[in-house]
Amino acid sequence: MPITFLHTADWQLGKPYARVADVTKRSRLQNERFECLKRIGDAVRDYQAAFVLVAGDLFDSPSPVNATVARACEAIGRMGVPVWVIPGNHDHGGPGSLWEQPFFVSQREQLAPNLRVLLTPEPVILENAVVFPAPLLRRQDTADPTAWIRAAFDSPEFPTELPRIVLAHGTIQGFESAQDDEDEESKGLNRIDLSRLTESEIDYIALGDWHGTKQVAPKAWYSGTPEIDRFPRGEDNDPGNILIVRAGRGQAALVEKLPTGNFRWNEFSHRFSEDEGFDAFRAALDARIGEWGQDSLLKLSLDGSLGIETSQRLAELIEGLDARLLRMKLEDRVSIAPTAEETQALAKRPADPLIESVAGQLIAMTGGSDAEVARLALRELHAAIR
Amino acid sequence: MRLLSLTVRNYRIHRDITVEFDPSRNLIGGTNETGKSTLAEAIHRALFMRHRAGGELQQSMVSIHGGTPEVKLSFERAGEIWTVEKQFAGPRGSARLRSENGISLQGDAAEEKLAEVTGNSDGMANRLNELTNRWSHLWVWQGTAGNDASSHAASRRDELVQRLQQQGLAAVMQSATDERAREKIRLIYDEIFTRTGAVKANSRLDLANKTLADANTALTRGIEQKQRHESAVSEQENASKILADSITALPAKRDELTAVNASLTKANELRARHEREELLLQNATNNRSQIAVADQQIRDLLNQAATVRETLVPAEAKLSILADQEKAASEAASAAELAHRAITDAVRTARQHHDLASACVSRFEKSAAHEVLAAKAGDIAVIEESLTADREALSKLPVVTTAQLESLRKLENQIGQAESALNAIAAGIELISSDQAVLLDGQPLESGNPRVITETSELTIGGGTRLRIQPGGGTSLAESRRKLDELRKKLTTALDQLAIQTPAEAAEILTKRQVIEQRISKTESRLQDLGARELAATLASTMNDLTAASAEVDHRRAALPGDQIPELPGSLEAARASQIGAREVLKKAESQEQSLLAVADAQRKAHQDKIRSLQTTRESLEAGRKTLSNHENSARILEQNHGDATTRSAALAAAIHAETAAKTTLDATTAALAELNPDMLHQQGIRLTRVISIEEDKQRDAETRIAVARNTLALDGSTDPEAEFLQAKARQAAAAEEKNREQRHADSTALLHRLFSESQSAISESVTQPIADRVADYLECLFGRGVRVAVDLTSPSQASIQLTRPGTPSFTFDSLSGGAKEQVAAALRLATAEILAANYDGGLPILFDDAFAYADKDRIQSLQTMLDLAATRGLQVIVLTCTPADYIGLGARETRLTPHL
Repeated sequence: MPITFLHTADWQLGKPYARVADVTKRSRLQNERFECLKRIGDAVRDYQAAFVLVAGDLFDSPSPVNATVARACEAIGRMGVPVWVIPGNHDHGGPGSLWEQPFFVSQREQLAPNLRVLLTPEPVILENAVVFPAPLLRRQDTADPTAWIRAAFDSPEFPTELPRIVLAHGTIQGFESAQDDEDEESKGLNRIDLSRLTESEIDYIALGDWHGTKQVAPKAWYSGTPEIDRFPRGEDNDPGNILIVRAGRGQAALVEKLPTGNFRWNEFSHRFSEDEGFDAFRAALDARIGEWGQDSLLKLSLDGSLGIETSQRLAELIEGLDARLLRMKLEDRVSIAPTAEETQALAKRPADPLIESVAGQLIAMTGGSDAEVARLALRELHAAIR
Repeated sequence: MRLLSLTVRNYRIHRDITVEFDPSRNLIGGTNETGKSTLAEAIHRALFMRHRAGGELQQSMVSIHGGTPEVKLSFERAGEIWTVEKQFAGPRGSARLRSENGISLQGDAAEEKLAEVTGNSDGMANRLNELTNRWSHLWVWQGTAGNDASSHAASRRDELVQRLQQQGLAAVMQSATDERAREKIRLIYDEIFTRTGAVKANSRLDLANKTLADANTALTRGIEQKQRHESAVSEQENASKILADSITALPAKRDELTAVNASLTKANELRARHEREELLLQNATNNRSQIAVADQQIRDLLNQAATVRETLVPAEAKLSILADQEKAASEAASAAELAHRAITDAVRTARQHHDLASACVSRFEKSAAHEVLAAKAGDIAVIEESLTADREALSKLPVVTTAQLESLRKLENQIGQAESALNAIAAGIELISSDQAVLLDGQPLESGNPRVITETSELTIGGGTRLRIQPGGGTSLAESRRKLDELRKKLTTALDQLAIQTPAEAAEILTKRQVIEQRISKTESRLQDLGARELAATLASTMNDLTAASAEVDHRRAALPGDQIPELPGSLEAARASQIGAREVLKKAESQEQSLLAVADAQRKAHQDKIRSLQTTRESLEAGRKTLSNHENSARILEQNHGDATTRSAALAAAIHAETAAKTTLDATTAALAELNPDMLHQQGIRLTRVISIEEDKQRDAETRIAVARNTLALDGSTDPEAEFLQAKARQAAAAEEKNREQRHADSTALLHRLFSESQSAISESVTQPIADRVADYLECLFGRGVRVAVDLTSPSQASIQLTRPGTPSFTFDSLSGGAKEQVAAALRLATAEILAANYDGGLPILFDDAFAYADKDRIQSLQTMLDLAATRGLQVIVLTCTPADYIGLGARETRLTPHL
């Protein structure tokens, strides 16, 4: 008998967004991860899901603060259906993990009795499904957390009518969350080998870790994170969704993608070749951001070179964007190259022999090893004689 | 521009004086108070002081001679000759300027034109402080020569730049814009850096550095916290694993230990039993051994008694034989003893007779010897009587020796010779006849009795005639007479000593003495030969001997028994015959006694041997009997304790049986103990106890570690170490970026600042280098080749000059000595004037008022070379000095001032 459930992962509640310097903006970003849980709760009701599977990384840290724990429990409690969770690499189990901390235990009991944390690699037979959890008990493990599942079918005593669902968190070839995170280093660990799992014995594999929504095998899906938390990398990276899954024993699962993200994470790259192109660049950027500046995050990659005057305008533009946007991640590789007029204005000043001499030397230096300092000095000199 | 002539009237010390100037070299000499400096001031005021200036400035010029101070100065400028005349009378002062081309101006117009002609853009001065600024680079006032002249040059900087540019040199000057830009950069730089180029505290770069350092610290802390957490996780895992392993393994070890302990208890029981059984066996063995030993002892004693008893029988037989032999030997010894005693008496009698005979012989011999000696004593007495008579006769004669006689005869001869010599010299006087008494020296002179006069003598004839007679020969006569007297005196003395009258008498006495002495000697020799001296003692001795011999005879005779007393011999011969007979008898008796003594000794010895043999045999027999008795007693006592032979045999059999049984039991126990191997059990017990203890410790340690780790891992939920770590990481990255940004800004500012400074120096150098080169030219005249000069004329307040001489570090103006300061300042003035002279038709007057006060004579010579070089290069050099003779080498036109009366 097929059942409907929600597959989600990588909520990463309590993510600090440490690189966002502005406290208010940081707070908004953090808050939105909880807001997203309301949207998941709405989907539970809308799709009459029997339960929710969270494939790891419910929390961003193995040691979240009490406020995060309490708020998470409250939000889960409101979902009204069982929420099955395995620890991921961010909120892994094991000694001292949050899952065994008294505060979590008490909050779960009080606020989220529907929350079930699966800390043991053993089958869980539910009323309407059999779940094979692959919890991570340490941040990084060289062993495949799903390795035990194949052996579990050697003596099958599972109800034949119930769909069998694997719940795992980790990387498969080519998909690893750390690849595109600013604060994580890829170590190539927690690797899941799907080929070990006998396809016929399993009806759905609910994966977590990769933040984009992605089907990686006929029965295996990454749900991705429901609220985007980083600048996505790659063309087909598609974060900000949850999956509504309808699965039955021996049947192909029906998977529907439901967008749940709120904030807009943009990437914009530009290469300056001449100062005249600056206005066009500005217009394109404005078009991209539109009216959602306050809900937008922008990764701006700039290249090429600009004259002193225009580079100053660019600096002013960036300053403005930085203030306006929720976050701007700038990769500024634009160099200052005085225009012919600027060079002329600085270095041809017979009436001001001192400035002429200094400017001449700086211009000469822009071709040497101290080029960057010399360009900055030129800009400073330019400002000083204005 | 060159000065031509100066006339000063009613000006301080001067009433009216005119000085004509050479276009190049001028020397104004004069002692102190001759008004040299007043002339320097007069020229300067004619050119630069407002004619109507009053107050102290004007008052100071008033002459002691009265009248208005007047100065008239002629000079050439641009090929034209100008004459300025000024009367300094305050508001009533006047000024007039004339040129040879007909220009003639008065008052302010004259002064305006004068300022124009002399290039004085500042105009005429009303006050002293204004006045001193005019031509301060050309006018070296007395007492200011040692001041740094670079500020004067700096105040002419614009003029110098213009002049140098006109000469085609690349002298430039920064603009106001330059200065503004430089100032802006300087302000930015000063916000970041200190004077020494270090980053200023609390500057943005400094704050960025600090923030980064703090962020690094926080990150390190975060990493450490994270590592602590991870370590705790790992610790808990490891400890849990150890605990689980230990809990699994421990029960089996405990069971093992229990089994080992049970075996050990059993082993201990066996060991105790073994000890007991060992004791029992020992007792049985001892018992059996004691019984066997006693039995053997009894049998041994009985055997020994039998043996002893057998040996006693022959010993007793031998004892009987020996007793008989001893008795026989005793009898033989007694007989021999009696025989020997009889012969001993015979020997004694024979010896007594012999001794009496010998004593008789001795008495006869002693008597004969005494008689011989008595006869000899009679002879000696006769001889000694004659000897006594001779000795008496000799003693009555004076003792005259041959030597004395010789001496007397010699004196007699010498007197004879002396008398002959005296008579030969002396005068003789002989009374032939006289009727009156004639006295010679008071002695009557008798006729026929001539006298010899040997000394001055008085001859008295009668009562009235006295004659003095002086014999001739002088002192010889007196000497001869004195000698004769001495000899006679000697002779008399010698005779008196011998108590004789003449030497002849002495000869006679000597002969008599010699005869008597010869006879005495002969008699003494004969007495010597007869032994007269010892005779008395010998005689007494022989008498004693004789007496003793007689006593001996009597004594011997009395000793003999009365019946045996023989007739005494009547002569020596008879005595000797009797002695020989007695000796023969004695000899024979003695021989018999010797042989009988040997027999007696042998018998006695044989008897003693027999006695000893008998004693030994008797003792041996006694010992055997005692041994036998002892053995028999011992055996009896033992048998009383241990029973007879049958009883003993039964007891020994029972003891052997008991011993065998005990040994069997002990062997069984030993085998059971060996089977258990208690040593190994003990080792196992120790090992298992240790293993259990280690495991228990391990468990406790693991539990502690788990508790500690749990404590570390327990979260209070107020902070998230993971999030804090990420925050710290992000803050560190942001701080690093900020620091880099500030660093780039600081670097670019520092670069700009440096380039501005360097460029400004270069620009400044374009002006100062030509001056410095000229200063060096002048200073080479003083200090030799190789002098290098650096001049900073950026502004009058900053102006400075630095010198470098070969092989020495550079030194500043202030570090120079007083003399060098004057000279270096003069060189800088000359160089400045030389450049500026181009604006004045190539010439300018430059005046030194007593400007080289510190220079020694040698240096003044080289100074003249420097001044001459300046003159050659177009300057009009005017030197005011109180020692003009020192400046002959300059070859200048000299004006000598004389003191005013």
